[in-house]
Amino acid sequence: MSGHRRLDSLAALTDAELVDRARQGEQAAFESLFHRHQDRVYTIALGMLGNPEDSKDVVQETFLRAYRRLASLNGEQGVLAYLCKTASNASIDLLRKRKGARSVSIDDFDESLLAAWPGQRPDQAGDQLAMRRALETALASLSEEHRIVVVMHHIAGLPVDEIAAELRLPVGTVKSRLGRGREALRRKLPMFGDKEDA
Amino acid sequence: MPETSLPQACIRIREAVAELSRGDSLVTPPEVLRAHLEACESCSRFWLDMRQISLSLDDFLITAPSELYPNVRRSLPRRSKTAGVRLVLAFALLTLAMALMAWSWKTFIAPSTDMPPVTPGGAPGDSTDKADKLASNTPPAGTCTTKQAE
Repeated sequence: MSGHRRLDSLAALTDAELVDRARQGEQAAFESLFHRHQDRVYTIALGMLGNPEDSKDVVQETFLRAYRRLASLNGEQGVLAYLCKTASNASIDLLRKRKGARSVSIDDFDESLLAAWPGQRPDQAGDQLAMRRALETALASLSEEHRIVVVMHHIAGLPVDEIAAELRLPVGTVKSRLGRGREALRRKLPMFGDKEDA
Repeated sequence: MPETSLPQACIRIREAVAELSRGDSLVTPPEVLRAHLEACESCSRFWLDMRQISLSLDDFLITAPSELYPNVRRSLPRRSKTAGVRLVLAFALLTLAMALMAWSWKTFIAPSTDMPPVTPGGAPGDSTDKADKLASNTPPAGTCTTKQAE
């Protein structure tokens, strides 16, 4: 069976089944898991870091950690939740390192994020695409502290208390940043809001 | 209407909307929230917008670059389906090698260092000579040793 056909046949399996096969040494099963979840992991990393190169490293690190922990990964929700949490943690680690190395102005950071964010995709059309593009731009223009909690909560699916623990912040601060981040998004998205609110 | 000049009631309702979207339990009674949203167009729009933004964020995905997996594959530690079989095979080979060494020792090395066996019926070579010497030193039958005489 060719590699592509093999992956196609594995695509019908659940995460738990793929993990089980990967545990037994079937590398194609792990590759199938990778292709299934790489976009989510990459979106979390890019959303938090704003740098495609660092985001690729986070994807690699996340899946390597998952591979090493195959024995303890379980359940349908378990795999994606583990990947999202690991990607968030790896991104936070990288942000901390980066801040230790040099101070980054939020304005500079956001500018680089805007440049890094994927641009036009002429092959797709419709409102959904317009919404997605607008969301990309709006997310990229959020301040770092708001963007990180918005990405961790909505894209990584982490609950507020877990985000607070990872970021070493009080739960109330995370809630307030989340609320302000969403309100900022609403102001930045052209299709939403009474613009006189802003 | 600028957000800072919102009436207190609207501010409280928007906080309640934020609580709802986080999945927190509501401090504001649901009937109060509903009544306000039905009456206030600005808050009603706020509620719908926040809901739409949350839904869009939940589904938001950026396509990862296609070249990522080969790098991951190269970094994966080796984990093989046949690892167990290989281990058994290695153990079997080791056992075989040890058995072969033991056999070689017994067959080719041990006989040259051991004393030859002494056969009672006499055998050619040294063993016969020794037996003859022993026989010649034995006193003839009927002669007594000193001890016997005593």
